[in-house]
Amino acid sequence: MADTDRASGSTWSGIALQASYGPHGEPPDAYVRQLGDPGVAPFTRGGHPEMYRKRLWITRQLCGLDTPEATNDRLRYLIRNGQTGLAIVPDTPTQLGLDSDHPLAERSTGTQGVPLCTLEDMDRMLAGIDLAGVTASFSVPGVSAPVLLAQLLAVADRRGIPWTALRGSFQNDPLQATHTSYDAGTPIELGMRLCTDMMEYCTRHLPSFHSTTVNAYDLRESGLNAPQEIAVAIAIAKAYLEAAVKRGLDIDRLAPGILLICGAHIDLFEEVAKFRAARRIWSRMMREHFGAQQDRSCRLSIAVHTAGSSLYAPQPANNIVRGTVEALAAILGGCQGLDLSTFDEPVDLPSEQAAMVALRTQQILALETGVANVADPLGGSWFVESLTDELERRMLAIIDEIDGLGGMVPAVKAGWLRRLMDEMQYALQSSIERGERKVVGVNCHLVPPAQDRLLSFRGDHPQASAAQIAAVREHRRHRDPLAVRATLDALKIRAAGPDNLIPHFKLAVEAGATLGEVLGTVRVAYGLRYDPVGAIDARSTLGV
Amino acid sequence: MTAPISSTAERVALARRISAIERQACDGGDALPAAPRVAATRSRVLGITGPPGAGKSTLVDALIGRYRARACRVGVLAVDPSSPVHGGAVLGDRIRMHRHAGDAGVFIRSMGSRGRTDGLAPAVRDATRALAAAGYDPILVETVGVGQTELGIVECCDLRVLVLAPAWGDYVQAAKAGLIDLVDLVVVNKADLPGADSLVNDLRQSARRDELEIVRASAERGEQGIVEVGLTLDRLWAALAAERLAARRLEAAAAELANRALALVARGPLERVTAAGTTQRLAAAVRDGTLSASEAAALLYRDMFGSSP
Amino acid sequence: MPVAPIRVVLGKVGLDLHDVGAKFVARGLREAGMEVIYLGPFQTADSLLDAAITEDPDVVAISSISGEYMSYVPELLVRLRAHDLHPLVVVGGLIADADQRELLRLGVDAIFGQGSSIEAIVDYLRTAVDARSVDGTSR
Repeated sequence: MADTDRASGSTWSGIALQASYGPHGEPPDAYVRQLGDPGVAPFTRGGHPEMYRKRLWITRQLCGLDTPEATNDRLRYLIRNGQTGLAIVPDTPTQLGLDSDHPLAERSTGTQGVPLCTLEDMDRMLAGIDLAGVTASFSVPGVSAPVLLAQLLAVADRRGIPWTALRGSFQNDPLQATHTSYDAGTPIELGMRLCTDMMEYCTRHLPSFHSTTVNAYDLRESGLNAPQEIAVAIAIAKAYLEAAVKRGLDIDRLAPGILLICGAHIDLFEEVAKFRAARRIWSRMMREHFGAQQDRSCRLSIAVHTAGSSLYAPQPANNIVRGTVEALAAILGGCQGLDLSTFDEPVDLPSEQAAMVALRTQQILALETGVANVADPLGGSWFVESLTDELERRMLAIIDEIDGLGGMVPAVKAGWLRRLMDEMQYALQSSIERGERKVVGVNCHLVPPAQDRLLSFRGDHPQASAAQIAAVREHRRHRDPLAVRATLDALKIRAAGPDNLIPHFKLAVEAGATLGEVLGTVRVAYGLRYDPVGAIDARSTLGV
Repeated sequence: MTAPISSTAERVALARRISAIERQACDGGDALPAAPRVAATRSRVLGITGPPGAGKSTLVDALIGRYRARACRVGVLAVDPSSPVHGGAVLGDRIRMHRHAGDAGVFIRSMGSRGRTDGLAPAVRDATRALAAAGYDPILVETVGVGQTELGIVECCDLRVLVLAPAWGDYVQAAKAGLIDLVDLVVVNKADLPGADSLVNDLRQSARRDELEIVRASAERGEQGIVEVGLTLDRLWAALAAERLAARRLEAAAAELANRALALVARGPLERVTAAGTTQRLAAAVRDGTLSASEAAALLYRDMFGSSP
Repeated sequence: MPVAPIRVVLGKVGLDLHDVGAKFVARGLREAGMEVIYLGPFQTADSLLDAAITEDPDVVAISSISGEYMSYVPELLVRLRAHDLHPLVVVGGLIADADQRELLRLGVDAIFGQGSSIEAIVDYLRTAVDARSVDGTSR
């Protein structure tokens, strides 16, 4: 959304609108306790009094092309066209902590995101972009997040940008990443240590940076239902916060650094109620469990990605309608950031045309429909309030269950979350296959494929980026191997002790170490194999 | 001395032999031409049991690595439950052993339990023999882990290892009532989870023997726990081989023989009287209360064997 | 007389991590009475070959939505043949039209694209495995 875009203060026929509506006269106790006006705890009705009148949600399109250079071009294009936030998605090898020239990566480097293997990659991707003037969010849930942060900080240093000016986020969410294979077999202890290092470091040195984004979206995509999605995400956030508090950090400095990125599914009212219930639970947990004093610690920020799993390959244009309803749920639910899965997602990587439809969907909802004009427009609806209460009850019951297992870390280790996901995923798919849950074009109102005029699978899978693989090999040839060895040896010693590893990551990447080498060194210090997939060893990458 | 790896042709032949064993076990032909005769002294057979999620496959993976470092050919039989309803199974144990894929010195075979309820699959016993005949030593047998009386490893394995973790209270209670007296080693996995200390104490107190070995392992301890498991297994094997191995194997072979003989004796006659409708008729009488179950069984026996039991 | 279950090795190749579809197929085949040796992601021609050797399956199935299948499946086919192994090889997921033709030409037995039902996959596997055992090619 462009900075000048605003929600309107009146209806199409000229009726002036308040920023929000509530009970007439003195509000009853129950209202104050359960709902509160928008911008007032427990924030059921939204985080801000004026909501989208003051500022529309942040519009972003995920971006990650085959090389850092190509990604840079696209990012600068998006900035020129009014995008205020960068949403960067690294490729799968980078997500897994594998170098671009790793034997298993050679076939996927740069195909589903941008490769960020070295400090030079990060620098090239951000060339000519004012890091102090834009928020940069990285969709990186797993172990690579702290290394990419170190790359980002090194780039800021090169350009003389103070860290306090950096805004953005990493996902940094190992408990979730364990379940989407994005952890590449990293033990939870190591994942939690790196996650907490990063939270601590950001809280102390990068006050405007979100240290952690709990990825509820992928929990939902893995089969969980709406209350499970939120309950598990909040329990995960609780585990991270407790670990960081244990290191002596103040909850009121930590809490504002946490974001939730949620899915928005097709059941409109349940989704709206879900967001409202999530804010209420968060607010109470922060105050009652963590003893937060400040309102901004209790106000949950929610970013939304509409559900890729709700989209289907047959008659793909139907997915535009699904995305619209889901985006509507996010807006009515009071989200702070929104992006849409593109309508071609079930059959292809997003085309430019599909990405444009996604952006336009948001703009039509914001500027034409009036749904953003009033904060929490469904507040007070008997139906929506009842759904909100019921979802909250179910979420709290699940959070209690997780607490009963000793918290989210033991629950994950014991396989509780994995079992829940597998069961829910299978039940969901089966109910669609059996036709109990209706999906138009999939189990009812079918069109034979030959007559499916809306089907447009191009089917050209992208090729791995030979240029990037060559660039990384070149990088290895031109760096000072002794300097790399020295920083990695030092890192190995630190990793075996309690120190925060972010500064040591930074020294290593500045000396020329690659992502895979940094994480491999940490793995070795933890008694693990250097390479998470067991295909290479340390000597082969260092050329010794 | 066996070479530490086997050729692809040998591996293919071995795999097909195990398939033949499986098919015949399934067809009910117990007098198996495919089942090998193997002097059991050749290979040690280690049974790994415990509840799902306690870390059996991870332990097996680590042990494979350890034995491979000593240039042993390692055989693995990993059993997962078959559905009693439709007979299908998802066998997922290879995932944890992925790093050994392509190592020609490791032979991993997944099996569905196919109706057995003692934690094994019908073909396991003979498959261990086929592996031994092909020079695999040790042979690691990973049980289903769902049942709480997985006594199959007693019949089939020289050394029996029970893997537990703190979060499996119910299983631990059941194991304490039986399995724990039959295993040689308990590995307390995920020993960094809350409750590990009390689990170890609990096991020590409830074991009827002083010599029950307990080793703690966890991701935090990394290789250290595994090294300890491996050393303990070596020590236990040396002690067993010196003293009771022959006796233990005789006991196991006797039990296996009795089970197979029982099945052979009963199957033919039972199929015959069932085909004739006798079983059904007597069952109806039991249902309706005109015969007691033991009376009906005696009548069935007479029909099967022509004499009274 | 009970018949031994059909055995299927099922895996995802390379760094294609999204295994929702593969897991769903695994459970569907299980409910149809088959034994599914589930390998998960990170498979290569090497690791699939290894499973095809030791597990002696009737079917090797590759699920892929990232396009990496073209880097691994042709190599797998060559290596299976080199060792005189002849399981059915089937590929499922997001498979481009041109790749489908190429894979079938190289010897893949069947391809199940987006929206294939479990029923269709089960029916095909049962029929094809039966046909093979009549031929005596396998089992």
